[in-house]
Amino acid sequence: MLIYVLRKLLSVALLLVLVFTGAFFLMRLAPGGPFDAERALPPAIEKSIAARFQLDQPLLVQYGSYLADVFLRGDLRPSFSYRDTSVNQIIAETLPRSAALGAAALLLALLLGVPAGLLAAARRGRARDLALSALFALGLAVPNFVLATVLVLLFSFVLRWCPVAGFSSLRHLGLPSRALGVPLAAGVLEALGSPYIRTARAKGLTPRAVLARHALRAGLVPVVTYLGPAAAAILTGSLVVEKIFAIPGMGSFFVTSVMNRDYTLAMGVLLLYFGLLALLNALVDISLHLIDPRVELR
Amino acid sequence: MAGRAGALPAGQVGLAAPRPDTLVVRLRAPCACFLALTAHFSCAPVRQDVIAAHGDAWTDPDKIVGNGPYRLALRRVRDRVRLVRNEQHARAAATRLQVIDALAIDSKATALNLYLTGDADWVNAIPAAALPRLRGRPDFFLNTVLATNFLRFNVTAPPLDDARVRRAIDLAIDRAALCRFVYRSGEEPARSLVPPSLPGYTPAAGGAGGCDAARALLAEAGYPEGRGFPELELLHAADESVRAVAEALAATLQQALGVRLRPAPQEFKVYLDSQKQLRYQVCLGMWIGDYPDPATFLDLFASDAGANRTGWKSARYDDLLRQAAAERDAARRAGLLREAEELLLREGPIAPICYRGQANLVSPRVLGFTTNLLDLHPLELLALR
Repeated sequence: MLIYVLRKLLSVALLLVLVFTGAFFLMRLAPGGPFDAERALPPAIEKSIAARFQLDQPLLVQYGSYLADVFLRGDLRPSFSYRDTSVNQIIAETLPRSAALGAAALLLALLLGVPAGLLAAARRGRARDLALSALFALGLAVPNFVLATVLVLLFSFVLRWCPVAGFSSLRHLGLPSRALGVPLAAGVLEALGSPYIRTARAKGLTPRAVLARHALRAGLVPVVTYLGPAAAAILTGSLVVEKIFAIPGMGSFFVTSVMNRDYTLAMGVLLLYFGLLALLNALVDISLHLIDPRVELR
Repeated sequence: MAGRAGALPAGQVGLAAPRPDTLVVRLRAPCACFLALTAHFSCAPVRQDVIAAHGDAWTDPDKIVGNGPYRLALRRVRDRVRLVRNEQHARAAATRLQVIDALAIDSKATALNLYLTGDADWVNAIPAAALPRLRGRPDFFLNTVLATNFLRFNVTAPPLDDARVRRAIDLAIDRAALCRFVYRSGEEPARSLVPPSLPGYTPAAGGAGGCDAARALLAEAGYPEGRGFPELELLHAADESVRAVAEALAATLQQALGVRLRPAPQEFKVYLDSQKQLRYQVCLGMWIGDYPDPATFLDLFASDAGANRTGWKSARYDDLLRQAAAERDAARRAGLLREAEELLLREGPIAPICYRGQANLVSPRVLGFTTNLLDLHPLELLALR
């Protein structure tokens, strides 16, 4: 196990360096730079900005010094759009908010999806199964911004139970976590409709035995496999849901930092996402091995 | 200004501070809009010693030093900026609001929702689709502001190097229809670059005549009924509302003149870059005036202006602007600027489309809110019922 973990950590580090290199050169290939604006800057000011952000040095020199800063000192440098704040600081402020929302959505997904999935699996073919499956198929098919708008209309304007947007209290998490969690729950339900359950029933086991002995254990395998990568995306924030509910998280950075040519912020969120994804995938592998020791760790 | 970029030693630049509360600026030539220029936020003073001591962290709430009626209490990225009354300000006693939260909201629809549920007292980003239903409400304000949308022509290549072609396109634009059916956010049709209602200045009127005159001009230039006219690319930023304008414009010009314009959306930074490199033929542009003086618009198209981006150069235009800059008499200066604007509209590289409008929704419990050309709302004048 230890060798596996060490090997995994090394491969994650290598992956991050590769992502860093690819992103560095690709971003600079796109036309337009971080300081392009409607108003033209006087040449002297353009020069001093370029010097401050080291944009006037040869590309390979920039690459080398940036690589050293990120991987040896953990310094993601100042953002090009929030120029008085470092990317470390921005992520430290915004990631916890996205992660809180993501965690709430994941919890909701598990609380909704697992029981529903097990119920549906145990009563395969019956009306309840079909109804639940249909409901959650809808949850998968409806885009999250449509769901969000309907939730806002219903719970904020008609029933006046929930605040319409913002992040000042736990109550504010109610609607956005549902907008994120329901499609996730649908995915969990999908994952639970697996052949294991059908086989157990075919073997003649009672529904309760199916649930207790077979469904839970074996059914966890596809759930864990599904949730691992999904968690990485959810925890780093959904651009659309955060925009609709004005959650001050990091979801929007994935798009806006590229549009603004904010090289450092884009790099920071990219590395964070890939790192998280790689780590969660490793956790998934370890969990699967623990659930079912026949699964080999490679 | 030779003082820029350290070309002159500090002592020779015409700035002096003989007393702690007095700044003396000696100008080489008269500048009629000097006070308006220096009132712009880019001229707000900052403390050099604070910046030197703290570097990038000088804007932290506990370090930043300002001289306004409010001070920064906290700043959360993508969330809000909290302003708290500055008790040491000269007008602190008259400033009624103690705490103001400026919320950073990405989505206009969310901003409107926050206002409608009472979680925000004032919003100024309102989805265009909602405007028709908000008109007539006592808490809804809509006014024209100091900003103009216009078409930019790249005059370095045919057929747009011919002023008659540019004027023909200019005359054929149906501004009233565009404002009423496409923009729908309080815009007014524009025949000049400088918006009206600047005190002491009457904007130039564009060329007279409608589609008939436009067709005649186009025929004179060698393209009767648009025959032989190449298809042109209409560059614009890839925004939903701008795309609608581009498509409507292309359709009406096709109908009126027989010329074909192909809308070409580009991501914003690429769109700016294309303009800078003159890699476009026609493009949709706009300019927001920085200070209440016609020069803020007219300076755009001086031959060496960075924001010109059309390739158009006119020695006569530059000369008029230079004369106006040095002219002390306000009426004579206005006359010179008007002559420059007339020249710009007659021979120049733009076709004005509309003056922009600004909408505000302000809760009835807010007192002291007024609208103006620059859309400036001094916070120290506001109060809550």
